[in-house]
Amino acid sequence: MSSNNEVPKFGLLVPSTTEQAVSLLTQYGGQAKIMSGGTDLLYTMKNGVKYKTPEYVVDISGLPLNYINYDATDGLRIGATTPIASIASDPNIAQYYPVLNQAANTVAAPQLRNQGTAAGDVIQDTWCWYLRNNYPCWQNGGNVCFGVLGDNRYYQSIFGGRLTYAVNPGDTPVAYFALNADVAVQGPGGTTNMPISQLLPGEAIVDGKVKENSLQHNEMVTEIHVPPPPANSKSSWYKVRARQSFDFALASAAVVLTFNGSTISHASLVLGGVDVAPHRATAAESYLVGQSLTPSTIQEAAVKAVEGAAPLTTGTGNSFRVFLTQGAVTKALTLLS
Amino acid sequence: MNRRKFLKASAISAGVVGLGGIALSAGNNSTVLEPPTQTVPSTSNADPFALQSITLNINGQSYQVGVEPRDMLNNVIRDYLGLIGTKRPCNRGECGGCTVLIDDVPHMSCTYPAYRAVGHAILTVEGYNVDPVLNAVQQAWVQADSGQCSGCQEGQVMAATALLKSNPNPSLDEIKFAMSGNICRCGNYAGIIAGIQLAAQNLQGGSA
Repeated sequence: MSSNNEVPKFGLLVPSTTEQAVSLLTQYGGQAKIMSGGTDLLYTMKNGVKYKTPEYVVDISGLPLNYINYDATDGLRIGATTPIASIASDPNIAQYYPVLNQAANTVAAPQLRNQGTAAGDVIQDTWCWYLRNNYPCWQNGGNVCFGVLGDNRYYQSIFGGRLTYAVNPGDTPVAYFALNADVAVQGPGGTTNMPISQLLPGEAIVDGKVKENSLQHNEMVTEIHVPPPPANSKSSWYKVRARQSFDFALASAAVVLTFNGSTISHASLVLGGVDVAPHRATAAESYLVGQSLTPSTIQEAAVKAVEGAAPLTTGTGNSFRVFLTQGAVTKALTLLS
Repeated sequence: MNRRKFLKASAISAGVVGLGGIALSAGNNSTVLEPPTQTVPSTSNADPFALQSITLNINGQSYQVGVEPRDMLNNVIRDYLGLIGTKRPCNRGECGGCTVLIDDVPHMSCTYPAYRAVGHAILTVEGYNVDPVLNAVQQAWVQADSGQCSGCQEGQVMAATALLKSNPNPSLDEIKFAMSGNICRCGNYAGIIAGIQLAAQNLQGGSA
């Protein structure tokens, strides 16, 4: 039995710049991992998850990446190591990006929001209990997805999968998708900006390993940028949890609607906790354009939001989450009506 | 089974940690872990695995202790320093039972690297004699019968203390939100809320 309670020995590397952090990652060639808050990584290491446990940890919590800047023309910039609690309590985010404010306030627990950080919520590993308990799945050096075969009620996709069916567990990334955010990724060659959908493609194979984000071993997220909210837009968030106080999403919905009078001129609707990456509900989005929010259009949008759902029928099955997803969409849209 | 040698020491911690004169009865069956003693100066990148000698400020007192990078704050305050009031129920950041305050902000100590706590003020459930809000919460806890099995109690008390420090007069919803990271398996949430409300009332100048 490996360490089931203690963090295994690791070497601590403390860079003083992001460039140095990246060069340490390069130097240790895949044996080192970034730690910001640590709430995800330390848990994984305590459970001894083989493919996710590094020998060296690059602690970036001291880097000057803890900031939230809002500007009406540039939008919102959030540093990688900004605690979720700061996002949850920032007045500008509350005013201009209610969907992000509300999502951040439903992340985990107050204590974990004080420690967990902006970039960590985006690139944390899936919380599939098979992976977390060191089952040799695709993400952990094996060649099977235990979620498909076993108890897949909570952590597996209802929109299908390929090598992995485990869902992206974050809440704020769902809001970032709905807000069309982009991220700055620092690597050995400098900083590149990419849409968040490129960072979280659902399933990425990097250095021969199945991962849920497309970061190379020597890349790190340094900043999340959200464009200014469109004029006459409103946004909202709803998250369904098995335990309301403190839990992952069984289903969540992030909505950003732009109005022309009471008519919707643009719709952004993204589902969380139900697909290997935040899931853009394109059919519902195109349906909503030209409509106004009434109980019947909301109901129709909720039905269209789960178009293409393919819940698992093996193992326990998870089709109940299709209905929870419809409920989340209904709630989020109703909040705006 | 692992690196840590268990030092069978009946009441070794009591004299060492000195809780402001309050004797901590460790009991005959309790164990205190031997802190790592072989310290290596923490020059940058000298040896990333090395033990470091760090100084922690816990409940207003300074403690010097050798820690490895992998030592969580919970390991250090419980196992090395013998401050066993802080519990370690789940050890995964899933229950809140290990909550301590770091600069008055609640954190789960089981998931907080000890080396990060250097230079910060740590408050644990033993700090009632240095923190009036913590003291008031503990007194109200007794008066309102907020405790049951004590598995989560110390974490609940610390989370409640953090709440009342930042919001002396919280509404019911604010209490529930602030306490949402602390799970009580006895289900004594009504009692816990009553204790927090009583503490708030007492601190506002009611009968203490």
